[in-house]
Amino acid sequence: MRLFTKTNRFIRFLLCASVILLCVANTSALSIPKAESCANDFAGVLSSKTKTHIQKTSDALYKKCKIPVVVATIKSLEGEDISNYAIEMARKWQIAQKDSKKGILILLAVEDREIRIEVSDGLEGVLNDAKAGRIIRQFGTPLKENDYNLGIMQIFDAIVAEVEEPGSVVQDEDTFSKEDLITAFFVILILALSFIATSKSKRNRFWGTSYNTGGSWGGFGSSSSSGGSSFGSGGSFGGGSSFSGGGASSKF
Amino acid sequence: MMKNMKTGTKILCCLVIVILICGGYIISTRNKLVGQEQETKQVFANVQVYLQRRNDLIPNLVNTVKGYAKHEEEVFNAVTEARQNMINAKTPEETVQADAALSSAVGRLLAIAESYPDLKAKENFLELQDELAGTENRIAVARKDANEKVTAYNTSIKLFPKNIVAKMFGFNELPLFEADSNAKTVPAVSFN
Repeated sequence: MRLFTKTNRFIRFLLCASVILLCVANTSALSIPKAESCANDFAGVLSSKTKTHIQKTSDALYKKCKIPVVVATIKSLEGEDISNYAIEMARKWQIAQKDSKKGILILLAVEDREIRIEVSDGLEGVLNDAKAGRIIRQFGTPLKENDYNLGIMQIFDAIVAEVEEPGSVVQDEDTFSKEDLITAFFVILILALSFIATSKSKRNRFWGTSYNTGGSWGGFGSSSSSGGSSFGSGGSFGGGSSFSGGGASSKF
Repeated sequence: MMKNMKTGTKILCCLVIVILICGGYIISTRNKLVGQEQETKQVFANVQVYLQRRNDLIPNLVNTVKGYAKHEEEVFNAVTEARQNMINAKTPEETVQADAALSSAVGRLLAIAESYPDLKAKENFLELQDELAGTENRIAVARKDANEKVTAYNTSIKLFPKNIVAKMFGFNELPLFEADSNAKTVPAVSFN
């Protein structure tokens, strides 16, 4: 009888482990390329003029408002839903700012003839789903005639204008750096205490917590490398993940 | 006698050290599990927030469609009823069922619009559709995140030696959200 329950438990463990492995396999099945700049033309459909324009405008906007607007074109979604692909990409690239949670990804899937504007949590007030949809409808019309340069440029410019509009608050850096200092102090204090007090596994736990309270992503890559101790402590992103599926997409 | 005392002290010291290490491990594991449980509850709460948001959006959508397609009473009633069931749902199973019914009813409501060109051309309707699609997407993302968290949590309370601590403090397995295929029934907006 005892043996039976033990085997049972072992089977359950095996099942659980395989579910996790499947999840991991699923998330990594999407081969999302690495970000190169603000204009990532993986599909090779944008002219160098468009790319330069995007890069320059994006840089200027980032300097002014600390809001990254990133453009990516891909050939194919590889059968994935565009909203899933966009959120994976935005999370993997950690586009959103750590503290303000602001960032935008414009994703064009050429062969699937789909476009998506992925908006982070921090910008929902400025660019809600309805506005994102309207921008695609109003400015994305050249996409229908396969004029990707004009279509992307118009959508990009509209988004930048919308974000720049008075009312979208510019970040006050001082308060944030102060908060960071306090957080860092506590993290060091806790780390030191835990190091003295207990074993190695506990230290890992506190690393995990500091990632989460910092409001950063954690991201797939970074958290799994920081956790390291078991399935439980690593492998998931922080509570404050800044992209939660806002934005709009459309076929063209 | 002297020698005996020494062995006794040695054993005592060893015991104290073992107890300290075990205690430290138990406390740290317990704290960690509490943290994980809280995180999991947080993502569950996110799902609820977005479900509520969808419930708030639906009456607007129904009213907008009503203005153009008056005689589709049956669909309007189905949506209203499904929304009410969703609001009244208490248990997770009820929520899952109500959610599926609501998603399919809203899908039918949006499908109606296809046969009313005036409605389809209306910016107000299109924006509502965007909001709804966005909310559905958020629900799907939040569910996926929640399931990942729940799986990680459930695994860690089952694995040795954490399962001992988990049993000691009564950490129970949490349920996963059902497969969220229904959340995807809202058609993608086309601007043809």
